Amino acid sequence: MSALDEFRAEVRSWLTERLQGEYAGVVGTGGPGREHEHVEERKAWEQELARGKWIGLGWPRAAGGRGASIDEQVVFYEEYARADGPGRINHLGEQLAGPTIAAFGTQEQKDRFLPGILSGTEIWCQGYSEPGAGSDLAAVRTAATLREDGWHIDGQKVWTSLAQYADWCFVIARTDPGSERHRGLSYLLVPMHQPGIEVRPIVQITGTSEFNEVFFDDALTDADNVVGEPGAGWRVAMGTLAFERGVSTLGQQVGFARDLDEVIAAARANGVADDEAVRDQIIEAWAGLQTLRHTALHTLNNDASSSTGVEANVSKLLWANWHQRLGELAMAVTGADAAVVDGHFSPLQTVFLASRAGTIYGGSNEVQRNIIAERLWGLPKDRA
Amino acid sequence: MTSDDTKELRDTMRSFFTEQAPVRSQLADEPSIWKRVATELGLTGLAVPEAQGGSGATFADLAVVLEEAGRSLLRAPLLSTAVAAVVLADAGADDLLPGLLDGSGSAAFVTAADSPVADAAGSTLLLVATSDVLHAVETAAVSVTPLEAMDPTRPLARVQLGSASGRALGPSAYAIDILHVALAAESVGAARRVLEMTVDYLKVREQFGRPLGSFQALRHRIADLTVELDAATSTAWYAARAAANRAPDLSVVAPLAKAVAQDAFTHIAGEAIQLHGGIGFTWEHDAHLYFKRAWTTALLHGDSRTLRRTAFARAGM
Repeated sequence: MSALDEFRAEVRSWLTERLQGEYAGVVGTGGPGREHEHVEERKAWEQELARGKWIGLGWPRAAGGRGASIDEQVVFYEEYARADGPGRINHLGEQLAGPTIAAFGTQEQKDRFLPGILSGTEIWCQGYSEPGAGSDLAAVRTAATLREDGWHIDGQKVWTSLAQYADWCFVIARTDPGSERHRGLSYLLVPMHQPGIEVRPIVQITGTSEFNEVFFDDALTDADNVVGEPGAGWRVAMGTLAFERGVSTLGQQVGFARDLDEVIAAARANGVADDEAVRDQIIEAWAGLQTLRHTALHTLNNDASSSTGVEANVSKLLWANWHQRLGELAMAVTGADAAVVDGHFSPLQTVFLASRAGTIYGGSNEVQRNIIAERLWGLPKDRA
Repeated sequence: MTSDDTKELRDTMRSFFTEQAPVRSQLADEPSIWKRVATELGLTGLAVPEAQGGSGATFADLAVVLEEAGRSLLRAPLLSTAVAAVVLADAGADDLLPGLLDGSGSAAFVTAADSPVADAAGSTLLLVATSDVLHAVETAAVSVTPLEAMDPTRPLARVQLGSASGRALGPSAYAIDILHVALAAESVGAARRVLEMTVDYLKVREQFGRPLGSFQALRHRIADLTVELDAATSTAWYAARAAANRAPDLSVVAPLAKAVAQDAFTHIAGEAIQLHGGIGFTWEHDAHLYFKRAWTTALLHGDSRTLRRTAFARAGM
């Protein structure tokens, strides 16, 4: 048995023991469109994962992680999905806040914040988008002013995933009054539980609330809670985006495979899978998912020298479009009954509806295309 | 090979094909190019073990070479001969190798009855897949009639096997799989080149007082083609590694790789003509050569729909 096989066996037995035992109630819960499900149980699950040392698996040891290889991380995500583990409630902490603090933070910040993420006790959300700053993130207007008792923050964030469950938020705020665009922004760490912050869930197309509006009305955070130099927040925020290297994408893909299996099962159950045209659409979806996987593996295996710099943008366009088409295929194979809601949206109806957000959040398809055109190909900007 | 070695191989091949075998030299048979490719550089034996007279590199390395050859739409029968050499070496048919490895001979694949066969005219050996068995047949023993091909860079011929008897080499599945992987690699290389040409053109061609490449409608099309090509390239490389390692999923990813690569290539080559405007429609411009190669690849050795169905079935879906 190779070391990797042994690792797989270890992950599998750890997950099986718990997800078929004490934590059976969270199996298959959470995720896009279903973030409201079993929140307290999923928080407890996060801490159980921490006890197993599975949080921060790929973080460097110096940051308190396990320094696992990419292959090991892939194995963990595969096994996690195979076991139908619940949607992770602190992926923003583990994948964005933590690595950012580890890379750009002071020793004090690392000591203060990394343990809470690694122990699964502090949940994070991301305060980037604003009503006037969606695709154009540099247009943020939320302002922060440093006074004797710390940073005072005023403004509004929107589309903030999981803010209603979060303990902390990493916020891009304008700290240099009168500054414009990418200059004068700072990357602040802000506690969510305070009178100056109000979270209003946004009821979405799915009828549920993954996203929120977050209002800052003289909200406060300590003067030390700025990552990087004040005014250099854009560089830190962009550094955060670079941490998305595709390992989590592979985990997401196992969820996609589950969605595809469900579509296939539905098509077989009602007989439409026998229709040649439908069958080819299913095969097309399956083939697309294989290609998604190859693309993620390719990105992971690439070293910096052979990187195109736009892998994340390519991957985003691929998976978001793929998932949306799968949602449409799910409705097509279900037929007219797909238009009927039986108490609550079925998993396939949820995929269908929730997948409309994938092509918008985290940089819309249009923004991704512009980035590829400019950064990879050097095509001139559209000045019209 | 380390990734540095792979990069060096790619760079070496890029300059070789760009300088010694540019696209416009592919319109007619150039024996000097074949001599350099096969005899001097020994590329036909690249992925054949050293013990059998080859260079002992992996199939993934061969895929890199074929990608680079694809950029130039190489006419010489490198792909078919190098893949045939791997197949023969794998089958232990060492006695058939020397002619292919020293460039005095070449090989072609006959994978479907009645289909025109690429690279058959002038070859010395045919690998014929009948039902599930692969046979080696001397070209001299059969009737080969050269055809006029739509793609001037990939010679086609009609092959009539008649009563020629071949030598059974074993099951044909592996040979067809790695042929598909090789065609996928060649296709993504060629598609990358024609996309680059298109982007270069959009940067310099001005209309309405600005470069075409500044129009978002065109920028977004380029981005979408890039996404399609990157995905196809990832699958081609994954398949090439699967071929190199004889991975169990080779039989799944090989047909899939050819399907997505030829789909990307036909799409990109078609868009290349469109985005070049009138000049892209001329014989003088290279765009049509890529377009014709793309379609020839898609038409021979399995259409995309059938290949995807095969992959799906082999995955046990």
